[in-house]
Amino acid sequence: MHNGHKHALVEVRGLKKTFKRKDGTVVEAVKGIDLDIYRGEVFSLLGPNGAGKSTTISMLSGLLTPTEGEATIGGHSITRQPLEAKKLLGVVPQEIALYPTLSARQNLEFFGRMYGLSGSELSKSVDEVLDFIDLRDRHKDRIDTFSGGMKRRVNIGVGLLHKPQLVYMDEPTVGVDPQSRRRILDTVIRLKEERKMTVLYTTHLMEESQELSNRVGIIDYGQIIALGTVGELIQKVGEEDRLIFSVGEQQISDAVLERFRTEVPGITKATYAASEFTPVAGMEESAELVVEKRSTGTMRVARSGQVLDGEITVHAKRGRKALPELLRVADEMGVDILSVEVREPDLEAVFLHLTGRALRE
Amino acid sequence: MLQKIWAIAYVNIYQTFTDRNLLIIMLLTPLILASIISLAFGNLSGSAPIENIPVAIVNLDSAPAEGSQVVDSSGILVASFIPVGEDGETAADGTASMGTCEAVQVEDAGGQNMSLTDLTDAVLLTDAAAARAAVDRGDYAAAIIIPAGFNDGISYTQDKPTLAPLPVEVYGDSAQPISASIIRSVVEGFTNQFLTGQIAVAATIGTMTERAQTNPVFGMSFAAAAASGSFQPNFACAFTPGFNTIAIEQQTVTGEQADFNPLVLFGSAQAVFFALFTANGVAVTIIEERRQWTLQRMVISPTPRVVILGGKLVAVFAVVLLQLIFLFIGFTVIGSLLEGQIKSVWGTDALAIAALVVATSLATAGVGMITAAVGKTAEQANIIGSVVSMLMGILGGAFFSVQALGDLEWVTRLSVVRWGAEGFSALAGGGSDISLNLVFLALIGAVLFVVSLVVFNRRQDI
Repeated sequence: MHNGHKHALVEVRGLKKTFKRKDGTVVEAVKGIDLDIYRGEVFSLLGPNGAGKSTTISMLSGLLTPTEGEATIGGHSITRQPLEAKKLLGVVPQEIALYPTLSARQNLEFFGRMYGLSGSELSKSVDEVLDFIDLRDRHKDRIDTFSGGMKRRVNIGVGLLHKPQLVYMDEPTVGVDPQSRRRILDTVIRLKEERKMTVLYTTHLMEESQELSNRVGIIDYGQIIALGTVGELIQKVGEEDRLIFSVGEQQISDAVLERFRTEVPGITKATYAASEFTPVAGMEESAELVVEKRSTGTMRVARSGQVLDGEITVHAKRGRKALPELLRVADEMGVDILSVEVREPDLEAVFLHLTGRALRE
Repeated sequence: MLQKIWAIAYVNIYQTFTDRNLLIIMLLTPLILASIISLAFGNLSGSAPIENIPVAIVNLDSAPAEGSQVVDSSGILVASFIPVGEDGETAADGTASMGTCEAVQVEDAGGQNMSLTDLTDAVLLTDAAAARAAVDRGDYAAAIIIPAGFNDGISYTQDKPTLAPLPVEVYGDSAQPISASIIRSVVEGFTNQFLTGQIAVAATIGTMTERAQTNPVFGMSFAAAAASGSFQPNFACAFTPGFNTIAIEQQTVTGEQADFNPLVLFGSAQAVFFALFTANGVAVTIIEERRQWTLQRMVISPTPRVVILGGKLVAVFAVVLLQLIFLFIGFTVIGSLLEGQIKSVWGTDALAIAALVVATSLATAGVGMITAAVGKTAEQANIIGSVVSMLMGILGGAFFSVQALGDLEWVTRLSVVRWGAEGFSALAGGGSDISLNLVFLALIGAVLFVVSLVVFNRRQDI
């Protein structure tokens, strides 16, 4: 299928999967998905846990048989020509799917054989992958002697052995340290840029999705609820910048918020929220309570009902442009602004807007 | 496709044989265990004779009247264990002598003749209950109790032209199962011989009676001889087992005789028993690999499921085959060390030994596969596999001689351990007809392989 100059490598039409529970009830894990993934792009399937990401990918990779619908990879049907479709697909599962007592090379060689590689072709491919994942010097070491990050890299390497056209990576950064995570994200970028591979990336971390993807599909309750580039999605939901002013223990009156809304152009909404100090049960009578002992030796004392940390949140079409005016009004109203944070719209906000829930809930 | 099957099999073989703990359980444990059990039941060397088994004999029957056509079978049986003249009490009790017949000879494991009196240290008792109590106390390995009326029941005469044999009881000491089973085997040989002789007598008397009716001269001579009882001593010799040497042996399924060598018997049984555990363990990796996601990784690759399962089947078979080969070489080394010379304790028919090892591996691997296939989880499959292996090991004679089970011996035929161990014992004893064992083992292996393949293939979680 063409979309302008783009060619679809993966075409999904009405893909559905239902499971029958032991009590006889039917669960619709995937409720009819339509999706195209174009050659050479990184496509992220973003959604919370249990949204249907893994079920969708399990059907595409041949682990599960669809209840309804059809999908093709490189024109090969996943149900009627599964072996041909699988030859084009490299899979990097979330789990470390390796034999722990075999070396990195032995694991790569074994799975290479499962993709029909043998002889010098296999050796060459294994060496290339070891170089790519930067583990050539440890190729003879057993997997169970590797760190978590190194295991992840071998896990990715196995999926690349046969030079697939499409690499599917299922939350590859789960449970890894920040350094390894960065390395994995760089690997995905290299796959796209150096090897011109198409990558299907599932994650529940919108930062990863936002950084890596050409396009994003947001999935929730087994349905794709939004599809497009990050910019398109944000534009589609009409999200605004959010400016968050930290005001500490100051009590902010409605008059301040009203002036923000009426005097500063582009402001659509201004709210104030604060946390109040509530003593523990039995201590209510105490006039003053130490709520924080600072490292300087001083103490922070609060009374029951006293505001501790307050925030003014202002929604603006162009937040950075509105900021000087907002600060001026605050100054005139005698409000001390302790800090300001400008949050531009992101996929988290898009998801929140579409579902009313945070992505990590 | 074959390349993929071999790749899957190789990974499993490699993992198994590079696991030090597994090797200790698979290879060293059966060697040590079988050697210990063999030591407990007798000399490790197959050629060492078993001697002086303590036996109590109770003859509740009485000798037939003088001139009777009834043969004193009970007396012959007693005299075979306690010859007249050796024990004054025997003669005093009126047990019959063996007349002009030869003394009973048996063959020891080395093929040399030895007397039944060398094999056993028999004592004649008069009270059956006392004899049983003495066996219970461990004074005797077995008590042979000949019932009253035994002679009459087993004799065919002109006056009583029917046979109604009464059973001779062999009351064995469960703590000395090998010795008890040897005595049981000897007594079985005697009673069978008696019965065979009587059938021959019946046929002969029938023929002679017919001839006497048609030939008056012969009829008169026959009547005179019968009246004088002059046939009896000659008939008695016909019943005497001395004419057909009774060996001390394990009865094989083919009817062939094999020498008793504890190392062969327990070694082969232990080898097959431990191979069952190995087979189950390797087969269960199909389920375990799902947990570690390597199975899904194979399924995701362009590899048909049947190839993946085929690779696993080959792996189970190959691991068991290698284990059995190692163990049989190990037992050969132990046997040779004890003999002080290089000796194949498994016999000399290399082709038959190889065929039996392959057939046993097939059957064992089949059992391992099916026990893994029916388990929903790896833990469940391991438990099922262990229970089945233990049952087959116990029934198959991995811990005691199956002949100690007496009438329940048929149950042991449900165990591949029994079929394998029996075949190896037969080959070790110089026999060669193990075709029934081969056919059974190969068949059960093939059937279980196919069934487990179908079960695994139908499972959604594999």
